[in-house]
Amino acid sequence: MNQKMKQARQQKKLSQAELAKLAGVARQTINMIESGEYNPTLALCLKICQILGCTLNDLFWEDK
Amino acid sequence: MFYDERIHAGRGKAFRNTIILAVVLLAIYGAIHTVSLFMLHDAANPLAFIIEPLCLLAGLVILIYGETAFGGRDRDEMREYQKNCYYAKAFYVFLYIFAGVYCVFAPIQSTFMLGRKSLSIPNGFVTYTGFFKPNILLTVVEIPCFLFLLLQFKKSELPINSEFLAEDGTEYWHRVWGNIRKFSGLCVLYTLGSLAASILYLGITSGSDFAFTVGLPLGVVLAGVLTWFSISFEYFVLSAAERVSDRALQRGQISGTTMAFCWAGFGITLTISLIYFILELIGIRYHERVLTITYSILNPFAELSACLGNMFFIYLMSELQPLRDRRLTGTGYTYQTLGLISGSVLTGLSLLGTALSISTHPEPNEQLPRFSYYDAQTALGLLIDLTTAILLVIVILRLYKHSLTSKWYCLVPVLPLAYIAVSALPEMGFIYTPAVDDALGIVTTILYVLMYTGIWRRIRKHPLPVGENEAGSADEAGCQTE
Repeated sequence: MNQKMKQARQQKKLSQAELAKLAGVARQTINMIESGEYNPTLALCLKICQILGCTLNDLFWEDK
Repeated sequence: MFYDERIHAGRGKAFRNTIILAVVLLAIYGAIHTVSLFMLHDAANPLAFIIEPLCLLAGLVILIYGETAFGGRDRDEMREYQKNCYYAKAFYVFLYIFAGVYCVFAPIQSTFMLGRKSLSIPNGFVTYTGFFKPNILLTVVEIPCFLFLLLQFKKSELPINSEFLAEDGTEYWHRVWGNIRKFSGLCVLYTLGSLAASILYLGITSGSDFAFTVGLPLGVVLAGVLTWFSISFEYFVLSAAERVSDRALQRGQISGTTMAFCWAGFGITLTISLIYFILELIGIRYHERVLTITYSILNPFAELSACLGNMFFIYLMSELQPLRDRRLTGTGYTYQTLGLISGSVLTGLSLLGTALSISTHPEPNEQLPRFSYYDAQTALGLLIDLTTAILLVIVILRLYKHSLTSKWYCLVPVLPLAYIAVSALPEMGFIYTPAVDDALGIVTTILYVLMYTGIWRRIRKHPLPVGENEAGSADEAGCQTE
């Protein structure tokens, strides 16, 4: 589960569909990234980070 | 070997192209087959029509599902990734369906056709002149596989056992043996399916004679054993070659794979040619029983040598990539692709030729038709041989340009053709003799081994210079002429 991304999206008051539209992908893709079922490409990670105003470390770095 | 889920998914595109190609080949092959069967007045036999449509249907279903389920307006990188993953899995499913349909129906069909024609069952089911040969039919599966490899090697090397190539020796062979066992199980399953279908068939078509009733199940079992032996043996040898070359690669020796495949393939070709040559000299090569026995035993080895030859050429082209010589690699891939496709086309034409010659078989007092389909088939075969020889000459000349070989090797692909051309002119006093053809085959095989070994030694001693993007730039790239 990518809780960090979900929290960042909720803080920005964006729904999965809105974030998907801004990132240019399908809503299912955002859902699968948040549920940890899909590893996005670096290009999509950067796009999501730009939209949510976060860094790659903030959203995708897993703390041990 | 770096191998992760994205590389696995990345192969999906190549798998998709291969399935499309296989479907197209199947459609062509199936159409020719159907026409020839109609000419044989065998339309009443449902088994005769079942193989190609079933495989074609499986391929089409896989393609239609893949294109509709993962296409459409919502397509994004995840859908693309899922699509690639789907095709990577679907390819193997397609191969299993393909192999399954062939293994279940081809032996019955083969035996049925032979049984109908001659009813000489004990020799009939594996006779050299048979209408269908189960092992030969499997080449229809091999062709898309090699074309897939061709697509892969254009990008990077991808060994068959890449997933466990890095394991230690015991584990590696344990995994290889595991794969052989899996395949053996599959083979037993298919053979049992084939046996069940043949018994069902015999039950429905009552009135067959005793020899046919016994010969059909026996033929099915023999076809299963031959297929198992052929594929298991090929896989074992390829695994050994990969392992040896990978160890060599780790010691910093390049081209190990190339030579492992090259020596193994040419060694087998040479052995088979020698056996045929000796049989020819004794004068028993075309004796029916000898032909049957040699064909049954040597056919899997001949297939393996062709398989190794194909693998070798693909590896060679892959290793020559640093030269960035488009004319060399382009001609090389065209040569290889033409060779693979011509195999399929010639098999189809052979069927058509046989069918037409049987359907238009003249009565004892009837005059022979002026134009024979066998002539057309031979002419097309010669045309393909001539084209492949020209392509190979271009490849050798490009290799010479890069100081990798001698220009005199250009004579090697031309020699067998020159002999056939000369023997086609009886007024010049030459008569085609199979023994001379075999001897010529042995000589050219030895010359090929010398040529490829020379290239290997040259690459091993002097790493290839990185060329420019355009052809004919070897001199500019600093390649020294010997």
